[in-house]
Amino acid sequence: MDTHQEIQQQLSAYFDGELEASAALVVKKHLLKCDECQQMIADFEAQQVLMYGLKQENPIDTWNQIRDQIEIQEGKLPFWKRWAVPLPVAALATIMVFGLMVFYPISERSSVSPINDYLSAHAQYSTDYSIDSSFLNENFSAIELDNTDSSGDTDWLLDTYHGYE
Amino acid sequence: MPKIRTFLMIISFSLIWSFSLVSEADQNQFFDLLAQAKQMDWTGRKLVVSWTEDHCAAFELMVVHGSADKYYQRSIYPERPRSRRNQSNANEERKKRESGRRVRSFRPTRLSAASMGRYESLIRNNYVLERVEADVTICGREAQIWSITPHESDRNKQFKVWLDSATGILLQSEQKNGQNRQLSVLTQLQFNQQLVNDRLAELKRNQQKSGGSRRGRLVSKSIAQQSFKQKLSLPDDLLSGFQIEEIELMERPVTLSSSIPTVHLRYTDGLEMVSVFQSLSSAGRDRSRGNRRGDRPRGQRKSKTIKQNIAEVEVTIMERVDVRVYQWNDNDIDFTLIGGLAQSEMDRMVKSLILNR
Repeated sequence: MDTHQEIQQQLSAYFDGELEASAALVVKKHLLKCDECQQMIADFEAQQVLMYGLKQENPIDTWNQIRDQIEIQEGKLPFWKRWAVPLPVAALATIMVFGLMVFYPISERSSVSPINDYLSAHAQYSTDYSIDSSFLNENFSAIELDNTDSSGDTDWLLDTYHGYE
Repeated sequence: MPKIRTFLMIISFSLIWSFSLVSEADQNQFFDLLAQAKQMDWTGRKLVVSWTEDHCAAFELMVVHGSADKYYQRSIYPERPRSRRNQSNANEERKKRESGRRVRSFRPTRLSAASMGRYESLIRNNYVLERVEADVTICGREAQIWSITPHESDRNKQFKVWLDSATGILLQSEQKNGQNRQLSVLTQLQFNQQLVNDRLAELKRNQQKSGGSRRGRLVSKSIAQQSFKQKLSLPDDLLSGFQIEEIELMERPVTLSSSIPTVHLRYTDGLEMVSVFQSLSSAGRDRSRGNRRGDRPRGQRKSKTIKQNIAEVEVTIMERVDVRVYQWNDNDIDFTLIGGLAQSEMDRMVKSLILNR
């Protein structure tokens, strides 16, 4: 037979439903005849209500961080997070790309010698035919041949119509 | 004896006067005929062939109202280079391109009725117009042949034009400059008003879509100077007879975010054209790039290049078949002169540009 003190030690577990059925039955029978223990259960209930009133969800970020840590350990991180780049690296890469866009020449021809551009501009106003690769891309090759490559058309035309000596 | 001398002088003056009157009448007839051509509505096809001893090229153009209005152009000779890349889906590429015909050029070229009419006074001053007595028929039309010879003895370029006797339409033209020749001839001529209207409407529509063919914008001298922020060389005339025609402000892209402003000055004597390009020097950029393959632009590896001092400035001269290209740097401005004149005249132009600075 459990004593009053032994029952009191089990009251918290009984309140939380953690006792086995036989032990819980013993505590339940004891409660029917023990006012002191009934009062303790009543206190537990009051505390619980009080605790629910104070109850607050965990911050989402905190939970996500904890979950990420767990998933890293378990190897379950989503693929897009596995490839995520640290901010400094991303910033450096952005600066490098921007620098290339700003400082790297569009083409060797345009940065070094504009002579072909000038010849095209001159020919545009002095000849019967047009020497302009953008024109060719849209028109000339459309009508002329079926299997032509429009790249380098200006050079080809300059070769052909201004020629060399 | 004095009487005889006086008599001979009177005779010779009379002859010169009557000759000038005949010449004046010839010129009037020529330009009256050209003016008639402006009134005509026509369309057709034109073949342009250019050749030297070792070089030949041929184009076909569809034209409306004159040589300037290109509906399309195609190369007949030589064939354009073919690529393997496009051979597999050639038909699809063709269909895709066929739908996108667009006009790029919608302005008079040098040897056209419109251009010659526009520069009438310059042509009258710089050239001798003579009618060649011969009966020729082109495209079923009776043609008058006119030879156009420059007054300047240094200019060895000869022009010949065939004008429709009834309408003034330019049926054929020929340019001869030493070994270089260019022949332009109408192979088809139609006066179908509906067809002309349809093609003109399509040309204008396509031109609006494509935004025209002009690369830069036409500006006045002062605006060109302001945009450039450097002292430009902007003489009104380069040589006797050559006057400034237009100033075009161009932007030559260097990187995705920067470009070099370039001024394109066009000078004409009525039929010939010379271009002067001026841009801020890119010498520093070139040096920093070192001796890479790109230092020598594609297409120049075979051109004949010489260096020469003109007015104490080193000038690089490149010779192409039909033009000479002069390049030099003067006070951080890169100059490029392009023209098809004789070397002596080109040299004088460079000298005047250098001294004008």
